[in-house]
Amino acid sequence: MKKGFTKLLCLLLTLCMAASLTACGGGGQTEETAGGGTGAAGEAADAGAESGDRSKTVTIALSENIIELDPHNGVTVINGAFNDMLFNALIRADHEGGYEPDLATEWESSEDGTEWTFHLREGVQFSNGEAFNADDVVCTYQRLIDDPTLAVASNNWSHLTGVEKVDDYTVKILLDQPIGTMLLAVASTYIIPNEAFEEMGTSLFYDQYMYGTGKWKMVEWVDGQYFNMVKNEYSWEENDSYFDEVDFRFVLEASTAINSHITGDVDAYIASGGISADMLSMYAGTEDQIEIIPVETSTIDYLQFQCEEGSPFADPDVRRAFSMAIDRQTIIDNVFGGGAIPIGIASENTMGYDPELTSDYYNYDPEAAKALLETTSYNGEPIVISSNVATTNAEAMLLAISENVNAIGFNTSIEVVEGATLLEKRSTGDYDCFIVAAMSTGGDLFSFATFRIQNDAHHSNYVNDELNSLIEQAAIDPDMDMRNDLYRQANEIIVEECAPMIGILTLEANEAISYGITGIQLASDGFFLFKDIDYDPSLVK
Amino acid sequence: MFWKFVLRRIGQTVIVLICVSIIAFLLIHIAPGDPARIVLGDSATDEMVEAYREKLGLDQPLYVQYFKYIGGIFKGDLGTSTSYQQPVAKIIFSRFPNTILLTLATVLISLVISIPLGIIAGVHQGKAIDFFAMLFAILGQSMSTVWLGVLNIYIFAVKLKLLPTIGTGGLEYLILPAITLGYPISAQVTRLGRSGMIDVLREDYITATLAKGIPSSKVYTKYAFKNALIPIITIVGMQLGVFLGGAVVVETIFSWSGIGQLTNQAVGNRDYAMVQSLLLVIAAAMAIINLLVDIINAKIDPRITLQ
Amino acid sequence: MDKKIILRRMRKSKFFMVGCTVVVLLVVMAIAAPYIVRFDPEANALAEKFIPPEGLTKGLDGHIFGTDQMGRDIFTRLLTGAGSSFIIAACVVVIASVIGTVLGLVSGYFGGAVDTIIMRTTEVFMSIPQIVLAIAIVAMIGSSMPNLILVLVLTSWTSYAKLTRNNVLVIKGQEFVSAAKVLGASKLRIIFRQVFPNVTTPLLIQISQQFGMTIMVEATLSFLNLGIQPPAPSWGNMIAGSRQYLTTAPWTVFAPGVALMITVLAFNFLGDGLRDVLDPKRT
Repeated sequence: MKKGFTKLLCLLLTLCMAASLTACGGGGQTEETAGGGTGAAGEAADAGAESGDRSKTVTIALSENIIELDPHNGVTVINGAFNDMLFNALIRADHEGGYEPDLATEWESSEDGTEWTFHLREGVQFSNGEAFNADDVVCTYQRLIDDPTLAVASNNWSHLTGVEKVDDYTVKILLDQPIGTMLLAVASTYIIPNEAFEEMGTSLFYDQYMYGTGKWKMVEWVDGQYFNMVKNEYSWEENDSYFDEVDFRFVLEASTAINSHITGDVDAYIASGGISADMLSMYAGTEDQIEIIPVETSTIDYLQFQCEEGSPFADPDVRRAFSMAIDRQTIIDNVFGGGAIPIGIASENTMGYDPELTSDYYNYDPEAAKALLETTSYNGEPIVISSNVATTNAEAMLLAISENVNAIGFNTSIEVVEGATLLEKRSTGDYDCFIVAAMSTGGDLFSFATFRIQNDAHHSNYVNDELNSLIEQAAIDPDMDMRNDLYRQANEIIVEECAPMIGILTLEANEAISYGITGIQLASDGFFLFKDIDYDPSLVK
Repeated sequence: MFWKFVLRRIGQTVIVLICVSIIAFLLIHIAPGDPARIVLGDSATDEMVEAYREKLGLDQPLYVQYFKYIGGIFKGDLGTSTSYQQPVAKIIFSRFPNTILLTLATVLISLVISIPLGIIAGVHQGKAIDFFAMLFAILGQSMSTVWLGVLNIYIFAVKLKLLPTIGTGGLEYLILPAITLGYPISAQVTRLGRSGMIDVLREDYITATLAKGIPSSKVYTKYAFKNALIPIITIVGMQLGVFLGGAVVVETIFSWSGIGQLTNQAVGNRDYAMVQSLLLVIAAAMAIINLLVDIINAKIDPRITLQ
Repeated sequence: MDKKIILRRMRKSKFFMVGCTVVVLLVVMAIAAPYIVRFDPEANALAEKFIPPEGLTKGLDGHIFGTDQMGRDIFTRLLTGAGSSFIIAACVVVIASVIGTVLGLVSGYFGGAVDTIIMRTTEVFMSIPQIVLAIAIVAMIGSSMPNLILVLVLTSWTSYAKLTRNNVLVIKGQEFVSAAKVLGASKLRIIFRQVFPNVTTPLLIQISQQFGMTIMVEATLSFLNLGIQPPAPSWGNMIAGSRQYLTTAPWTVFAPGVALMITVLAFNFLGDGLRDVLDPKRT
């Protein structure tokens, strides 16, 4: 009976298809025009938003897969979101530059900033029932010392030398030199249960046990499909969420994710880097069910120059002319539909931001740019502007920039390559200039400045001792105000020199959440946190 | 004779697979892009990248790496994925069922449509129904998976709102990807079925059976169709490879998490062990299917063993 | 064969006439593209994005098929893209058919170890799906037009080799070949004078169908970002780039999609027509 029906359905569908194809082949033109504008909104949307007896499961579409479960090795925003739900660190970052107690209730550091003492919370259990104490912290930090290739270790802990248990609820973390990002580093280091880890090793993660102290615990991950969590009954934090289950679905196609949201299959669509502005029109007609939330992020699209001897960009005036020729505002308005012009690499949501700072090099002025370029020795040498497919709107942005600078006498073309290829070019310095996006966790410029400028991870071959020493000091100064000022000074040099990079824009990320769903934190550093997700029927319209 | 043929074909298959493993290995190792750099990211110093390359064994000569890899295969170890940090075999086989499901649905849908259509077209050669069947077939052969997939989403999910467009779930999720993948093949089978029927219906014994007064519907399905079936089996077997290739596109368009999508992702991440194992697993699957098709055909028509 | 008979069959075959006309039309348009189009195929004009198709209301100066997400004229991009698709397909078909045919002739005529080696090699190539192999190779050597041609040749010569070999096996046993052998003709002479002319018909049909197939595979690779690199247009990357605007601006996807379908359809018609014309028994 059922089989027969399926067969019949298949047959019908194909016949329909054949019929419609014939239609398209012939007079496709008229049909196309008629199809335009009619968004797929309308009636289907009502189905999902019935208040009252709402399902106890909340479903969230994410634009990116998770592929690494190890909380000490996965550092994507998706990892950040899941780790925050499943685990706790000693302290918790609010992703706006502030820190609050988490598994540690208090902490202090020695005078020279190389010895930190943390007092741990008592009465905490992991989701397997194991009690939390100093041994777990020692186990966690020792793992990062033993394996410096773990991403959390290499990103944060190059100066970690030891971890000591003082008593069951006190630990000491030892450094060989003070680090300015100590709190951020601690907040990024999620505590794993030592007994379970010693017994199972990494299968604690890869076989999906994922025992943590967080408010939620993992149920199942199916690669490329979904990741489910339920309330952790052992959680030390009270979890009074309306929802018993959080169901994340990985939907890599933006248009399909939006379709599922409109039809009510998912309750929120959270895209890494935001939903592209051109796609938002698909939500037209659902304003009373779905809220589009714009977030001014600190994620910056920047252009890095190849400054080595012999490259056209070795000359600062060529770089300055290039920067002045870019019509950033038009790109923001027409390509991205939102965002802000950064001055240098700092923006309102990062450290080193100086509201007073202005620069002619960031004002669109083709005449001045042209005049400046004419004073240099640049003579139409071909330049390729590179980017990778992962960069949002790369093709349109690069084309716009290329047109801008070609108009004043540059000879540029663009290429948008696969991620691995650009990485290879960057790691060998084989490029003229490239544009990528960079996130700064918690708005802290440490990682950007230290790795991308001071260490010159992408081989721009730009060397400025003054700049490097400012960045070096900022990396080790424990005082946040001092660091802020050091980064401000560093940024001034970057702006004046237009090197090794210029800021293009800071992204505005739009995320879509159905009314009634609360507690999703969209942080300005591009992270999103679901720990406190809840439901408030009074917000449903 | 038959067993000798089977043994020879198995031997050939093994040689082919060894060649594939060498090609797959070389392909991915010559590619620019350093997996260690990709895994470790921006913060890695050159020393760390070197150390990681050593850990992965990438610093050793290629032939040593190859033999290590082959040695591992015999122990059931396809290597460790650099992007998942987990055994490659585990990841591949967690996704393989999805692709098999998709392939089966595709074969089913295409045969259910194309076989009756081919028979009817063949029997009513030159009539209107024949014309439409041929139109269906020619259109199908001209549709690229890329375009067909997008069109299917537009018609069934966006305009008619009949079916879900994405994800991996119940049967209704299978329909669109399966149609997208299956239409070109069903076009081919329809044509084959049609020409097979036309040929067979000219045979004397069919005319004789019809003259005896046996109902024509029975003659067509029972006698005539049987003879048109052999080339269809062969084609469907051969086309499974095309399915697996098309699966890359279809799985991308419909967010279906099978091995096609995995291949694309693994190439992007320069996940050496994953890519070479995927190529090998896919080639092995195809080789086994071709082997089975050959054996079935040899059973049906013993002359094949002589070739 | 008699030229008059062929001409008459050509005129009689609807497939051939339709296929031939459309193919000629497409090729002429692709060649004449620089003189027809009024817009830059690559430069973006962001203020003019998503203009719906204007048809011929404004003549050639309007956006006949509308504009895409970067304000570029779709008609312009279609024609420019057609040019590169045709060049690629032509190169691939010529190179692959020459390589495949020569190997097929050698393999079929000589048999023995040569045959075994060549046939095992084709099996190796055929045991990895064309698209999967192409993805792996392009990822490795990068995606420029010569590389794309190389990849498509590598993945398509096998079909010519197999086809030719099978036909040679049939022809080899026929009397005129044995006669030539007896008369002492050299092997090369026999292969090219006696055998080759007798395998050209199926080869021609195969070539015309492979042409459409190649365009389709090229589009698929471009769709996966492994073919023609943006901003240069190709039908595949136009579909890929605009796919997400299917609901809001369907013409951006329909134009390249329909163009792709019509082109492949025309080549398939041509192939079927050629069969009608050259080899009427097999229809």
